[in-house]
Amino acid sequence: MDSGDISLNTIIVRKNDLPTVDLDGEIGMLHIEKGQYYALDAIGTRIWGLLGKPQAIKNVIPTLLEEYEVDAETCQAHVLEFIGKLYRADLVSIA
Amino acid sequence: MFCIDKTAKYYVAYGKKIVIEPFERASSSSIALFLLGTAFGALLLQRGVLPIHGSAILIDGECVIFTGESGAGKSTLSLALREQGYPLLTDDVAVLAIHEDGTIWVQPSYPQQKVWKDSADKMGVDVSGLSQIQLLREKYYLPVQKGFHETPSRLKAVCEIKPDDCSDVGILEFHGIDKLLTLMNNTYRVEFLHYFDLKVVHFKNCTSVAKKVPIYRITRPIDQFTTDKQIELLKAVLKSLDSKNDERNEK
Repeated sequence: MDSGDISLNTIIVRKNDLPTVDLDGEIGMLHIEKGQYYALDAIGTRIWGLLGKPQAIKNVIPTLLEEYEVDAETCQAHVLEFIGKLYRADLVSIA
Repeated sequence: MFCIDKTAKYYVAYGKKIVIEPFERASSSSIALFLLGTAFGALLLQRGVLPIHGSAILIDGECVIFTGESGAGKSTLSLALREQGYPLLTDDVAVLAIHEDGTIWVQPSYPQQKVWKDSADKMGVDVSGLSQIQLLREKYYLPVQKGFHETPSRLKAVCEIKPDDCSDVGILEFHGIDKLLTLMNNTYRVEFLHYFDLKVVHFKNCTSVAKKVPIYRITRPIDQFTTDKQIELLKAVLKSLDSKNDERNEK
């Protein structure tokens, strides 16, 4: 499955076995097999936090709409794009 | 394993073994140079300690590390601080030890390392001029044994020096992932972290330090001698750090 198949109904499973650090509300992690470092900004970190349990992408949207000043359409587009990046970086998988 | 042209091949293993295979007519001083610099850097990474590229100065009982790229002005600033009477713990490579209680300590190294490494950097450009550079450097620096601090000390702050296209010296504090990136970017011989288990240790070491220790960046104008101003800003920042810590201790 490529990231083009990710939709609001896709169930996303976070990789929880990566060495991770939270520094002032920004997450950094190391993908061990790839030996590659990744960093999330504040909003990325919030989304990562909301994906603590396997979840459909649409379930994280309402919280973000509450917490950030953004309209639903922009929010959905950005979240899908961001999760697509996480997926391509192999930091999440699809259930 | 790495190879230095006209000098030697170095094989560094398990954090406890270095095998050197010199080339014909290699000078012993250049062999020693890369042994003390690059080979020891690789060895330290294999041992799972965190070597930061920079010098460490003792200021009021605790250590401040000055890091940054070659030519950033680490040695110049440390030298200026030494002249003000602050002792040097290490030059060029500051080895950090993370104790079980989470405190971070800087290991003193040998005082003559500066000569070796500075020459080594020059070596990359011009191998033939080595001995002259060494002599020049030795003359240039203060007596080696004077003002050297020989015991491990608590790390107070890390300070990255960055020459920039600016008109005046500035200082800012890093937050979040920038702290982590600063430590990673300034790890000595980070290119030797090929092996993933070493990368995990390195990542964890950097995160432990980033969580505990404030990290700053001093920007300084290129081609200007501004150490006085840098020291002034640094001292102001350290002072406000002390008063913050005092407040925390009172609570």
